[in-house]
Amino acid sequence: MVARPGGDAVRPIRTFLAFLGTSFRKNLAYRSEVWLSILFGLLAIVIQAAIWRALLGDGAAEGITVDDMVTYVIITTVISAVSLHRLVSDVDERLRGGDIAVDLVKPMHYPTLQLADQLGRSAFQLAFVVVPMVVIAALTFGIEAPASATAGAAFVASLAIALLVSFTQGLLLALLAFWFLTTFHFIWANGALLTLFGGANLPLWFFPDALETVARLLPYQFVAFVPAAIWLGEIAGSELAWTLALGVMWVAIQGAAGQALWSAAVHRLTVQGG
Amino acid sequence: MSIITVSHLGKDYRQIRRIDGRFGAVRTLFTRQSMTRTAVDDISFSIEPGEAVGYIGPNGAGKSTTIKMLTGILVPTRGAVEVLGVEPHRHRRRNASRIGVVFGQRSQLWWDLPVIESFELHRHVYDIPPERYRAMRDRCTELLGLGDLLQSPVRQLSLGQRMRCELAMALLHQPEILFLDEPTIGLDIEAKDRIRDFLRTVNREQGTTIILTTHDLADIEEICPRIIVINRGGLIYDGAIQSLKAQLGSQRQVTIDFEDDPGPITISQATLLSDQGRRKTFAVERSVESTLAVLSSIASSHPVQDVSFAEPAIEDVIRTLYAGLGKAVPESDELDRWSRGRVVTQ
Ligand SMILES: Nc1ncnc2c1ncn2[C@@H]1O[C@H](COP(=O)(O)OP(=O)(O)O)[C@@H](O)[C@H]1O
Ligand SMILES: [Mg+2]
Repeated sequence: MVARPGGDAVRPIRTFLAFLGTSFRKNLAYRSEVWLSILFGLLAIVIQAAIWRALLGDGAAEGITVDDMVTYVIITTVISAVSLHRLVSDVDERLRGGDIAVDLVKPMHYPTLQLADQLGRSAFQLAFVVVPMVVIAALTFGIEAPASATAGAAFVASLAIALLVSFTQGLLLALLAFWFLTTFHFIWANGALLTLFGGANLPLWFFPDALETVARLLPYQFVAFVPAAIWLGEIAGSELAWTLALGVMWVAIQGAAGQALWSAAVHRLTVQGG
Repeated sequence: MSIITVSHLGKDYRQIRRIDGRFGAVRTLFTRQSMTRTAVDDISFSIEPGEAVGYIGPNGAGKSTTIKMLTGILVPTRGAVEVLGVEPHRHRRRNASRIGVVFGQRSQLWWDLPVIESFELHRHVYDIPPERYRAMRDRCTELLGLGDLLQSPVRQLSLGQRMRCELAMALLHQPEILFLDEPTIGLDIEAKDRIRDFLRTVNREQGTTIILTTHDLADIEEICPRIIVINRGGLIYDGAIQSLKAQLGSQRQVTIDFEDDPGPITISQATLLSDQGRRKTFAVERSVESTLAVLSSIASSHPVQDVSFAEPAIEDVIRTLYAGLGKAVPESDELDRWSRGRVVTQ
């Protein structure tokens, strides 16, 4: 990189934001398709709310009421709308088709470029899918406010962790897939683990104890259960600190593994096609 | 000082054989049966700043593979590459900031956005000072006639319009070297002309070094005084087009229009290339004596209306080059398609 005289430290950040903004505007080109996303998101909320209403009635299980569960369902739906798991298929497609070549001839760190691209998409989802969906859901079913100011602040932190966990996981998967020449199995297995241990369908507190212990150590919970449980105040106090720390740790582990795999991949990269 | 030095460069692709059936993926992973295919083999050349070099060869010759190694996105198996004083694959990002690359079959523009958005992002990625960016953008816009195109979404552009934009973008950061892998593939004559003019201007005015691969030999004739020809991964010619023509294009074409169809003509010193009745084309030795000898011997027996000469086309020269090599003649249909520049390669 040619350092400009008086080279400024904010330049990489400016580049990152420029990328993110461009990606956001790219997604704007598809804004006519958001109606479907909103519709399906709402449908998922309606169905799950109905199930929990049938299960819990007016009572509570493990101290959780129907209203808690409706809020839980709305939050996990929101998180799945903004999480960065799509990275896997994007990177995989570029590796396989050889379009990665045009990314690599740019003077940029590829994973960073991908992060900016994916965040641009998330920002778009947030503005055009999540906000309308949450407003409609809140007006229809009601949504609980965060349990406390701390819970609200911690929720924001957990949201950032959710994005980074899903990003680093996606990167890792895409690169594993590249290494082993097969995407399908990895994506399938990861999807199954996410469904099971993420807690989007069944919150971890309803798990059998042994399974819950396992789930509470894995990274998947951060992409659904944790932010919702924090919002509801179900994870609080020292448990909250420890959970967030575990999340940061998973980001670091997956990120480091992804970076190592990326460096190795670049060193023997075979760019496909002409 | 050479700007690019390539010595004994080689690249083998290892293809891992995939095993199908039950647990195929797992077995593929552990058995790792592989096939090696040599795409580039023992190629050496060097390029000076400001040169424009055509890198040509038939499909699968190893052109794209070489370009990828020069741009730092593919690691060589053997030999050494040095671009602008560094090994490109070890310093991919540093190298990337000083070169421009256009892949004719891939786009670097954001498909859904107006072209200008891609340009603006490029400015950030390459950290181009605003004044310089504006100057370069306006110059390219003018030379390539981009005008309103900058405001159109990329997906609404024709291939030719898009390629012009790709080219402009690759030059915004004023790279020292411009690599072009088949930039004119699939374009119509007008778009090709425009691109050729532009590349000539850039090479002359900015002193940008150009390395160009192509199927269309007219690209080469108009832009590159020097060609490097490869086939099956090996180098078979490196030098001026003119001297290649002088060496191999020892014949010239003579087209004669007769007053009446003279019927079949056979002359020992000339080979009949095409016969359209009153108009016949012969290949004759380039020397003045033999040309005159052929002409006078024909004119003495049949009334001639008009005569025209043509220098050998670069296609014919390259054809002769392959034929002369004997060992490395590409399949005829391949060469045929190649020289007409129609094939879209992968
Ligand atoms: N990723 C790859 N894996 C295996 N073989 C490849 C790969 N890319 C190219 N090849 C082979 O290497 C040779 C050279 O390819 P390439 O450099 O693309 O040729 P060109 O650009 O001259 O048409 C061809 O035989 C091609 O099939
Ligand atoms: Mg090629």
